[in-house]
Amino acid sequence: MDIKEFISNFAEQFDDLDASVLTPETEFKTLEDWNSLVALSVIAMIDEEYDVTLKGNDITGAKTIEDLYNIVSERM
Amino acid sequence: MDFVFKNKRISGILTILPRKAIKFEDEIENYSFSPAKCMKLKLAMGYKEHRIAEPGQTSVDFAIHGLQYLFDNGMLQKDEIDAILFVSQSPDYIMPPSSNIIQGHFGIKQDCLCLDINQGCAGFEIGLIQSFLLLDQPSINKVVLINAEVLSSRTSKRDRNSWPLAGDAAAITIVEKTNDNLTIYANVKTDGTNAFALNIPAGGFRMPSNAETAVMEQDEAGNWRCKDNLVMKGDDVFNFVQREVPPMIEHLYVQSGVDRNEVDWYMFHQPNKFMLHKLADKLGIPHEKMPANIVENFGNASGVTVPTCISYNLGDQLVNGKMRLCLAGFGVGLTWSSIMMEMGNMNFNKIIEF
Repeated sequence: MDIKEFISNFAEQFDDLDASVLTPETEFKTLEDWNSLVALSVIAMIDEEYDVTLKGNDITGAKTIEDLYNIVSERM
Repeated sequence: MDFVFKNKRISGILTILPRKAIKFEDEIENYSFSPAKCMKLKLAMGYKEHRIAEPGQTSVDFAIHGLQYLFDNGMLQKDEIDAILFVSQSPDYIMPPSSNIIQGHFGIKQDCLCLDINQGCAGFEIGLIQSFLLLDQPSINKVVLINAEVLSSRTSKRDRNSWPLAGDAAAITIVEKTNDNLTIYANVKTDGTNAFALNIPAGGFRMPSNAETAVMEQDEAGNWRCKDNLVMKGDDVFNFVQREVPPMIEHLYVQSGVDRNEVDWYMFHQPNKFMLHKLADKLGIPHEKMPANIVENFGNASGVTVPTCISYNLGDQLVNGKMRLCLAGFGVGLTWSSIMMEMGNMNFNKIIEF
């Protein structure tokens, strides 16, 4: 799994966000459009694309997009 | 657990909705989130209005109102009722059973079997399966299945997770024997290890209600509720639905030999539009076949959402015609259940208000 592709999939869960403004170091919870529904969309996307189950706690515990990427990689 | 039934039909559905409709916008001030954030939630979830019972209106009141309507209009004969199933998580009393109260109110025969069933989101499917099981008995020909909830009074108005979608409602479904020789397929699964994903902590015997359980507390997300209120672990429930419901339906296709495209309508429990769209996508079926319009217009009244969905979206189409429906309920318990059956040529399929 490639982190660029992961970031692209991540960006798609927002209404209007260009993947190019995101980096692995982006603290995703501080993004303007981040809310609990985007969180659910991300959980759904990760289940769909990578067959990995993410929980609310995983999101709460993660700071950067790379943190999420690492959790998903570990569980694949 | 798989079930197979033959020669049973649903001959009528009457949904009873509270008259009082409250708009999402009118309640935004109650939540500890900015109006802007609330409006975003509204857009994403599609919240518009929800129907809430008046103070003092109970689940039995709704059921009695509906049954009275059916008797008054010649749509149901009192002496034909062989069983009353009352499916609710908000019965009138711990004791006596609400189904008994209803039987007594109308003076229905003593041979009528009365059962209260504590089930929620899968309550319509569980209720139907129990109805079909009873109808296998020679002396049971007609079952009155009642699904009723008035959970809004146990939901915190300051809980943005739960209040916007809270809904009260009841439905009366007449289930009876028939000679059509058609087969109904059903299944049920349970996962009690996650029983507390949907919970009302106080009010039972484990933690009786008292002054302490009425104290409002704020959770990590900023929502306020007390122990007497419903609490939902939203992401756990979401994960559960995504993980378990598609395989259940896939199994139902195999069990019944029906292809996904041969189903006319997917009448699923209505937690919210977002979850239903994701489910439809996972199952590879068009959104149009899985109505997701109940929460936004009426709210989520747990086990009553599926009959509401059927009455609201199909109405007379099921009186004049026949269709193949896939029903599914999932949530409280955790319990998940689905049914593949043909439905149609019904005596009635409508909504009234109370």
